[in-house]
Amino acid sequence: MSGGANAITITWTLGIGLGAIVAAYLMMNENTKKWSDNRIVLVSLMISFSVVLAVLQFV
Amino acid sequence: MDFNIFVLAALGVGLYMAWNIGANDVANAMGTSVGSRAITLKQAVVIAGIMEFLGAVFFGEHVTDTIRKGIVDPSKIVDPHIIAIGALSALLGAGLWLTFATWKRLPVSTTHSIVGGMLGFGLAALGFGGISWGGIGRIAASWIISPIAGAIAAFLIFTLIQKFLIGRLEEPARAERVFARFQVLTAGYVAFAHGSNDVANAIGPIAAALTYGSGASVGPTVAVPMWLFAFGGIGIVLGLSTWGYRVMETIGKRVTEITPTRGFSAEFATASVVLANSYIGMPISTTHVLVGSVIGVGMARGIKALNLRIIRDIGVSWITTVPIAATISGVVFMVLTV
Repeated sequence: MSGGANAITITWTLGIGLGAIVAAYLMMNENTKKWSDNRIVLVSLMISFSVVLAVLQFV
Repeated sequence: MDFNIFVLAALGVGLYMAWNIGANDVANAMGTSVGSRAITLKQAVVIAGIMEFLGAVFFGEHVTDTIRKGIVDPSKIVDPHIIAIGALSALLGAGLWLTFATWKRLPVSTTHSIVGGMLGFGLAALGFGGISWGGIGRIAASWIISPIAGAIAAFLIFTLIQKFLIGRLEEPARAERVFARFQVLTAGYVAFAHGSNDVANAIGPIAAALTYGSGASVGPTVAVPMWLFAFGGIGIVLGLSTWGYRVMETIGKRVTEITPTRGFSAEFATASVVLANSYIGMPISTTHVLVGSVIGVGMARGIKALNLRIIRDIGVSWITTVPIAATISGVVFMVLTV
Protein backbone atom coordinates (compact mmCIF):
# COMPACT_ATOMS: atom_id res chain seq x y z
CA MET A 1 0.00 0.00 0.00
CA SER A 2 1.36 3.44 -0.87
CA GLY A 3 1.74 6.20 1.72
CA GLY A 4 -1.31 8.05 0.35
CA ALA A 5 -3.47 4.95 0.54
CA ASN A 6 -2.27 4.31 4.09
CA ALA A 7 -3.26 7.85 5.13
CA ILE A 8 -6.72 7.32 3.59
CA THR A 9 -7.06 4.00 5.45
CA ILE A 10 -6.28 5.62 8.81
CA THR A 11 -8.60 8.58 8.15
CA TRP A 12 -11.43 6.38 6.94
CA THR A 13 -11.24 3.83 9.76
CA LEU A 14 -11.10 6.44 12.52
CA GLY A 15 -13.68 8.67 10.77
CA ILE A 16 -16.26 5.92 10.27
CA GLY A 17 -15.73 4.57 13.79
CA LEU A 18 -16.16 7.98 15.40
CA GLY A 19 -19.05 8.72 13.00
CA ALA A 20 -20.91 5.63 14.20
CA ILE A 21 -20.49 6.74 17.83
CA VAL A 22 -21.71 10.28 17.04
CA ALA A 23 -24.66 8.87 15.05
CA ALA A 24 -25.60 6.63 17.99
CA TYR A 25 -25.51 9.66 20.30
CA LEU A 26 -27.65 11.75 17.90
CA MET A 27 -30.22 8.93 17.62
CA MET A 28 -30.65 8.87 21.41
CA ASN A 29 -30.33 12.55 22.30
CA GLU A 30 -33.67 14.24 23.11
CA ASN A 31 -32.87 17.28 20.93
CA THR A 32 -31.74 15.36 17.84
CA LYS A 33 -33.56 12.02 17.85
CA LYS A 34 -36.37 13.43 15.69
CA TRP A 35 -33.90 14.27 12.90
CA SER A 36 -34.19 12.34 9.65
CA ASP A 37 -31.87 9.34 9.11
CA ASN A 38 -29.98 11.17 6.36
CA ARG A 39 -29.44 14.24 8.53
CA ILE A 40 -28.07 12.12 11.38
CA VAL A 41 -25.64 10.33 9.05
CA LEU A 42 -24.52 13.54 7.36
CA VAL A 43 -23.98 15.52 10.57
CA SER A 44 -22.21 12.63 12.34
CA LEU A 45 -19.83 12.12 9.40
CA MET A 46 -19.10 15.84 9.11
CA ILE A 47 -18.28 16.01 12.82
CA SER A 48 -16.21 12.81 12.89
CA PHE A 49 -14.14 13.48 9.78
CA SER A 50 -13.52 17.10 10.84
CA VAL A 51 -12.26 15.90 14.22
CA VAL A 52 -10.14 13.07 12.75
CA LEU A 53 -8.57 15.28 10.08
CA ALA A 54 -7.85 18.00 12.66
CA VAL A 55 -6.25 15.51 15.06
CA LEU A 56 -4.19 13.88 12.31
CA GLN A 57 -2.73 17.28 11.40
CA PHE A 58 -0.92 17.24 14.75
CA VAL A 59 0.17 13.58 14.80
CA MET B 1 6.86 -19.97 -27.19
CA ASP B 2 6.03 -17.69 -30.14
CA PHE B 3 6.02 -13.96 -29.20
CA ASN B 4 2.44 -13.19 -30.26
CA ILE B 5 1.03 -16.33 -28.66
CA PHE B 6 2.96 -15.52 -25.49
CA VAL B 7 1.59 -11.96 -25.27
CA LEU B 8 -1.96 -13.17 -26.00
CA ALA B 9 -1.59 -15.91 -23.37
CA ALA B 10 -0.35 -13.36 -20.81
CA LEU B 11 -3.30 -11.05 -21.46
CA GLY B 12 -5.79 -13.93 -21.45
CA VAL B 13 -4.49 -15.44 -18.20
CA GLY B 14 -4.31 -11.99 -16.58
CA LEU B 15 -7.91 -11.17 -17.53
CA TYR B 16 -8.97 -14.60 -16.23
CA MET B 17 -7.17 -13.95 -12.92
CA ALA B 18 -8.74 -10.47 -12.61
CA TRP B 19 -12.15 -12.06 -13.26
CA ASN B 20 -11.46 -14.56 -10.46
CA ILE B 21 -10.38 -11.79 -8.07
CA GLY B 22 -13.63 -9.93 -8.79
CA ALA B 23 -15.76 -13.05 -8.39
CA ASN B 24 -14.18 -14.19 -5.12
CA ASP B 25 -12.06 -11.53 -3.40
CA VAL B 26 -14.07 -8.37 -4.18
CA ALA B 27 -17.32 -10.31 -3.77
CA ASN B 28 -16.41 -11.43 -0.26
CA ALA B 29 -15.29 -7.90 0.65
CA MET B 30 -18.68 -6.49 -0.41
CA GLY B 31 -20.73 -9.50 0.73
CA THR B 32 -21.74 -8.01 4.09
CA SER B 33 -23.02 -4.80 2.45
CA VAL B 34 -25.04 -6.72 -0.18
CA GLY B 35 -26.15 -9.42 2.30
CA SER B 36 -27.59 -6.81 4.66
CA ARG B 37 -29.37 -5.16 1.67
CA ALA B 38 -27.57 -1.85 2.35
CA ILE B 39 -26.68 -1.94 -1.37
CA THR B 40 -27.85 -4.08 -4.27
CA LEU B 41 -25.57 -6.28 -6.39
CA LYS B 42 -25.86 -3.74 -9.24
CA GLN B 43 -24.84 -0.90 -6.93
CA ALA B 44 -21.93 -3.02 -5.66
CA VAL B 45 -20.73 -3.52 -9.24
CA VAL B 46 -20.91 0.23 -9.99
CA ILE B 47 -19.17 1.16 -6.72
CA ALA B 48 -16.49 -1.50 -7.27
CA GLY B 49 -15.97 -0.42 -10.88
CA ILE B 50 -15.29 3.19 -9.93
CA MET B 51 -13.45 2.74 -6.61
CA GLU B 52 -11.26 -0.22 -7.66
CA PHE B 53 -10.06 1.78 -10.64
CA LEU B 54 -9.40 4.94 -8.57
CA GLY B 55 -7.55 2.93 -5.91
CA ALA B 56 -5.42 1.08 -8.44
CA VAL B 57 -4.57 4.04 -10.67
CA PHE B 58 -3.94 6.71 -8.04
CA PHE B 59 -2.66 4.70 -5.08
CA GLY B 60 -1.57 1.32 -6.45
CA GLU B 61 2.07 0.32 -6.76
CA HIS B 62 3.15 1.17 -10.30
CA VAL B 63 6.33 -0.86 -10.04
CA THR B 64 5.60 -4.42 -8.97
CA ASP B 65 7.66 -7.49 -8.11
CA THR B 66 8.07 -9.87 -11.02
CA ILE B 67 7.86 -12.88 -8.72
CA ARG B 68 5.31 -11.78 -6.16
CA LYS B 69 5.04 -12.63 -2.47
CA GLY B 70 8.70 -13.47 -1.81
CA ILE B 71 8.23 -17.23 -2.05
CA VAL B 72 10.73 -17.74 -4.88
CA ASP B 73 13.99 -15.79 -5.08
CA PRO B 74 14.17 -14.54 -8.72
CA SER B 75 17.95 -14.09 -8.46
CA LYS B 76 18.25 -17.90 -8.40
CA ILE B 77 16.69 -18.09 -11.88
CA VAL B 78 19.14 -17.14 -14.59
CA ASP B 79 16.89 -17.60 -17.62
CA PRO B 80 14.28 -14.75 -17.95
CA HIS B 81 12.21 -17.14 -20.08
CA ILE B 82 11.71 -19.28 -16.96
CA ILE B 83 10.61 -16.26 -14.89
CA ALA B 84 7.99 -15.24 -17.47
CA ILE B 85 6.65 -18.78 -17.94
CA GLY B 86 6.68 -19.25 -14.16
CA ALA B 87 4.69 -16.05 -13.56
CA LEU B 88 2.05 -17.25 -16.05
CA SER B 89 1.94 -20.76 -14.54
CA ALA B 90 1.49 -19.32 -11.03
CA LEU B 91 -1.32 -17.08 -12.23
CA LEU B 92 -3.08 -19.95 -13.98
CA GLY B 93 -2.70 -22.26 -10.95
CA ALA B 94 -4.11 -19.58 -8.63
CA GLY B 95 -6.87 -18.71 -11.11
CA LEU B 96 -8.10 -22.28 -11.59
CA TRP B 97 -8.23 -22.82 -7.81
CA LEU B 98 -10.14 -19.55 -7.36
CA THR B 99 -12.63 -20.61 -10.05
CA PHE B 100 -13.24 -23.89 -8.22
CA ALA B 101 -13.60 -22.14 -4.84
CA THR B 102 -16.03 -19.58 -6.33
CA TRP B 103 -18.03 -22.37 -7.97
CA LYS B 104 -18.30 -23.99 -4.52
CA ARG B 105 -19.23 -20.52 -3.11
CA LEU B 106 -16.21 -20.47 -0.77
CA PRO B 107 -14.37 -17.24 0.12
CA VAL B 108 -10.62 -17.97 -0.10
CA SER B 109 -7.53 -15.77 0.02
CA THR B 110 -6.39 -14.56 -3.40
CA THR B 111 -2.97 -13.80 -1.93
CA HIS B 112 -2.60 -17.35 -0.60
CA SER B 113 -3.72 -18.71 -3.99
CA ILE B 114 -0.93 -16.76 -5.68
CA VAL B 115 1.56 -17.87 -3.04
CA GLY B 116 0.51 -21.45 -3.86
CA GLY B 117 0.97 -20.75 -7.56
CA MET B 118 4.43 -19.30 -6.97
CA LEU B 119 5.32 -22.23 -4.71
CA GLY B 120 4.36 -24.77 -7.39
CA PHE B 121 6.39 -23.04 -10.08
CA GLY B 122 9.33 -22.57 -7.65
CA LEU B 123 9.35 -26.24 -6.70
CA ALA B 124 9.16 -27.31 -10.35
CA ALA B 125 11.91 -24.89 -11.44
CA LEU B 126 14.29 -24.88 -8.46
CA GLY B 127 13.33 -27.73 -6.13
CA PHE B 128 12.96 -27.45 -2.33
CA GLY B 129 16.11 -25.34 -1.92
CA GLY B 130 14.70 -22.50 -4.04
CA ILE B 131 11.73 -21.78 -1.76
CA SER B 132 11.48 -19.32 1.13
CA TRP B 133 9.68 -21.67 3.56
CA GLY B 134 9.27 -18.94 6.20
CA GLY B 135 6.61 -17.35 3.99
CA ILE B 136 4.63 -20.61 3.99
CA GLY B 137 4.79 -20.75 7.81
CA ARG B 138 3.26 -17.26 7.98
CA ILE B 139 0.34 -18.47 5.85
CA ALA B 140 -0.37 -21.36 8.23
CA ALA B 141 -0.33 -18.87 11.12
CA SER B 142 -2.90 -16.75 9.26
CA TRP B 143 -5.46 -19.60 9.34
CA ILE B 144 -5.57 -19.22 13.13
CA ILE B 145 -4.67 -15.56 13.82
CA SER B 146 -6.85 -13.86 11.16
CA PRO B 147 -10.29 -15.32 11.98
CA ILE B 148 -9.73 -15.14 15.75
CA ALA B 149 -8.66 -11.47 15.58
CA GLY B 150 -11.63 -10.64 13.32
CA ALA B 151 -14.12 -12.61 15.44
CA ILE B 152 -13.06 -11.00 18.75
CA ALA B 153 -13.11 -7.46 17.30
CA ALA B 154 -16.51 -7.92 15.58
CA PHE B 155 -18.04 -9.64 18.61
CA LEU B 156 -17.03 -6.70 20.84
CA ILE B 157 -18.19 -4.02 18.37
CA PHE B 158 -21.58 -5.63 17.73
CA THR B 159 -22.13 -6.33 21.45
CA LEU B 160 -21.48 -2.63 22.19
CA ILE B 161 -23.90 -1.53 19.43
CA GLN B 162 -26.53 -3.97 20.73
CA LYS B 163 -26.17 -2.95 24.38
CA PHE B 164 -25.69 0.80 24.11
CA LEU B 165 -27.72 1.64 20.98
CA ILE B 166 -30.24 -0.94 19.77
CA GLY B 167 -31.33 -1.81 23.33
CA ARG B 168 -31.97 1.84 24.20
CA LEU B 169 -33.75 3.09 21.06
CA GLU B 170 -37.52 3.52 21.00
CA GLU B 171 -37.42 2.23 17.41
CA PRO B 172 -34.56 -0.35 17.12
CA ALA B 173 -35.10 -0.64 13.33
CA ARG B 174 -33.84 2.93 13.05
CA ALA B 175 -30.30 1.80 13.94
CA GLU B 176 -30.44 -0.60 10.97
CA ARG B 177 -31.50 2.18 8.57
CA VAL B 178 -28.74 4.53 9.75
CA PHE B 179 -26.02 1.85 9.69
CA ALA B 180 -27.12 0.79 6.20
CA ARG B 181 -26.05 4.27 5.05
CA PHE B 182 -22.69 3.84 6.77
CA GLN B 183 -22.30 0.55 4.92
CA VAL B 184 -22.53 2.34 1.54
CA LEU B 185 -19.41 4.28 2.53
CA THR B 186 -17.79 1.10 3.79
CA ALA B 187 -18.38 -0.69 0.50
CA GLY B 188 -16.81 2.18 -1.42
CA TYR B 189 -13.79 2.23 0.83
CA VAL B 190 -13.34 -1.57 0.68
CA ALA B 191 -13.25 -1.43 -3.13
CA PHE B 192 -10.83 1.50 -3.06
CA ALA B 193 -8.46 -0.26 -0.64
CA HIS B 194 -8.66 -3.43 -2.69
CA GLY B 195 -7.78 -1.54 -5.85
CA SER B 196 -4.72 0.07 -4.26
CA ASN B 197 -3.49 -3.22 -2.77
CA ASP B 198 -4.56 -6.19 -4.80
CA VAL B 199 -5.07 -5.33 -8.48
CA ALA B 200 -1.31 -5.83 -8.86
CA ASN B 201 -1.87 -9.51 -7.95
CA ALA B 202 -3.49 -9.98 -11.36
CA ILE B 203 -1.61 -7.53 -13.51
CA GLY B 204 1.92 -7.73 -12.04
CA PRO B 205 2.73 -11.09 -13.62
CA ILE B 206 1.14 -9.95 -16.93
CA ALA B 207 3.48 -6.95 -16.90
CA ALA B 208 6.40 -9.36 -16.41
CA ALA B 209 5.22 -11.61 -19.23
CA LEU B 210 4.64 -8.66 -21.58
CA THR B 211 8.08 -7.24 -20.78
CA TYR B 212 9.59 -10.59 -21.62
CA GLY B 213 7.43 -10.89 -24.75
CA SER B 214 8.63 -7.50 -26.00
CA GLY B 215 12.21 -8.74 -25.87
CA ALA B 216 13.31 -6.54 -22.91
CA SER B 217 15.12 -8.09 -19.95
CA VAL B 218 12.95 -9.15 -17.01
CA GLY B 219 14.41 -8.05 -13.66
CA PRO B 220 13.19 -8.49 -10.07
CA THR B 221 10.71 -5.62 -10.54
CA VAL B 222 8.75 -4.45 -13.55
CA ALA B 223 6.87 -1.21 -14.37
CA VAL B 224 3.10 -1.54 -14.75
CA PRO B 225 1.64 0.62 -17.54
CA MET B 226 -1.58 2.56 -16.81
CA TRP B 227 -3.63 0.68 -19.39
CA LEU B 228 -2.96 -2.57 -17.53
CA PHE B 229 -4.68 -1.17 -14.43
CA ALA B 230 -7.76 -0.43 -16.54
CA PHE B 231 -7.50 -3.93 -18.03
CA GLY B 232 -7.35 -5.46 -14.53
CA GLY B 233 -10.24 -3.26 -13.38
CA ILE B 234 -12.43 -4.43 -16.26
CA GLY B 235 -11.70 -8.07 -15.39
CA ILE B 236 -12.55 -7.50 -11.72
CA VAL B 237 -15.87 -5.80 -12.53
CA LEU B 238 -16.75 -8.62 -14.95
CA GLY B 239 -16.01 -11.21 -12.24
CA LEU B 240 -18.04 -9.38 -9.62
CA SER B 241 -21.03 -8.88 -11.93
CA THR B 242 -21.13 -12.42 -13.33
CA TRP B 243 -20.17 -14.81 -10.49
CA GLY B 244 -19.79 -12.45 -7.52
CA TYR B 245 -23.22 -13.37 -6.16
CA ARG B 246 -22.00 -16.89 -5.27
CA VAL B 247 -19.45 -15.83 -2.61
CA MET B 248 -21.59 -12.83 -1.58
CA GLU B 249 -24.38 -15.24 -0.61
CA THR B 250 -22.00 -17.21 1.61
CA ILE B 251 -20.66 -14.12 3.40
CA GLY B 252 -23.95 -12.22 3.51
CA LYS B 253 -26.46 -15.00 4.15
CA ARG B 254 -25.12 -18.53 4.61
CA VAL B 255 -22.61 -18.17 7.51
CA THR B 256 -25.11 -16.18 9.57
CA GLU B 257 -27.92 -13.72 8.89
CA ILE B 258 -26.45 -10.25 8.27
CA THR B 259 -28.26 -6.99 9.09
CA PRO B 260 -26.77 -3.50 8.58
CA THR B 261 -25.56 -3.23 12.22
CA ARG B 262 -23.98 -6.70 12.03
CA GLY B 263 -22.52 -6.02 8.58
CA PHE B 264 -21.10 -2.70 9.75
CA SER B 265 -19.60 -4.38 12.83
CA ALA B 266 -17.93 -7.05 10.67
CA GLU B 267 -16.60 -4.52 8.15
CA PHE B 268 -15.36 -2.08 10.76
CA ALA B 269 -13.73 -4.90 12.74
CA THR B 270 -11.98 -6.11 9.58
CA ALA B 271 -10.74 -2.61 8.71
CA SER B 272 -9.50 -2.07 12.28
CA VAL B 273 -7.65 -5.40 12.44
CA VAL B 274 -6.05 -4.83 9.02
CA LEU B 275 -5.07 -1.28 10.00
CA ALA B 276 -3.62 -2.41 13.35
CA ASN B 277 -1.75 -5.13 11.52
CA SER B 278 -0.06 -2.62 9.24
CA TYR B 279 1.78 -1.49 12.39
CA ILE B 280 2.15 -4.85 14.17
CA GLY B 281 3.03 -6.95 11.11
CA MET B 282 1.12 -10.17 11.92
CA PRO B 283 0.63 -12.66 9.08
CA ILE B 284 -3.06 -12.04 8.32
CA SER B 285 -5.33 -12.34 5.29
CA THR B 286 -8.11 -9.74 4.83
CA THR B 287 -10.46 -12.49 3.57
CA HIS B 288 -9.80 -14.62 6.65
CA VAL B 289 -10.28 -11.64 8.99
CA LEU B 290 -13.60 -10.77 7.31
CA VAL B 291 -14.91 -14.34 7.57
CA GLY B 292 -13.83 -14.38 11.24
CA SER B 293 -15.65 -11.06 11.76
CA VAL B 294 -18.87 -12.44 10.25
CA ILE B 295 -18.55 -15.45 12.58
CA GLY B 296 -17.96 -13.02 15.46
CA VAL B 297 -21.21 -11.09 14.89
CA GLY B 298 -23.02 -14.42 14.59
CA MET B 299 -21.48 -15.60 17.88
CA ALA B 300 -22.88 -12.49 19.58
CA ARG B 301 -26.32 -14.12 19.10
CA GLY B 302 -25.11 -17.56 20.21
CA ILE B 303 -23.57 -20.57 18.44
CA LYS B 304 -26.98 -21.58 17.00
CA ALA B 305 -26.93 -18.43 14.85
CA LEU B 306 -23.98 -19.89 12.91
CA ASN B 307 -24.02 -22.41 10.06
CA LEU B 308 -21.20 -24.67 11.30
CA ARG B 309 -21.20 -26.84 8.17
CA ILE B 310 -20.42 -23.83 5.96
CA ILE B 311 -17.73 -22.66 8.41
CA ARG B 312 -16.11 -26.13 8.30
CA ASP B 313 -16.11 -26.09 4.48
CA ILE B 314 -14.52 -22.62 4.46
CA GLY B 315 -11.79 -23.80 6.88
CA VAL B 316 -10.99 -26.79 4.69
CA SER B 317 -10.78 -24.56 1.60
CA TRP B 318 -8.28 -22.26 3.35
CA ILE B 319 -5.99 -25.17 4.28
CA THR B 320 -6.12 -26.68 0.79
CA THR B 321 -5.62 -23.37 -1.08
CA VAL B 322 -1.80 -23.42 -1.15
CA PRO B 323 -1.23 -27.13 -1.97
CA ILE B 324 -3.86 -27.26 -4.72
CA ALA B 325 -2.81 -23.98 -6.39
CA ALA B 326 0.84 -25.17 -6.13
CA THR B 327 0.05 -28.51 -7.74
CA ILE B 328 -1.82 -26.94 -10.67
CA SER B 329 0.90 -24.32 -11.18
CA GLY B 330 3.71 -26.90 -11.05
CA VAL B 331 1.98 -29.11 -13.62
CA VAL B 332 1.29 -26.12 -15.95
CA PHE B 333 4.93 -24.99 -15.62
CA MET B 334 6.26 -28.46 -16.49
CA VAL B 335 3.93 -28.71 -19.50
CA LEU B 336 4.96 -25.26 -20.80
CA THR B 337 8.68 -25.91 -20.39
CA VAL B 338 8.77 -29.38 -21.95
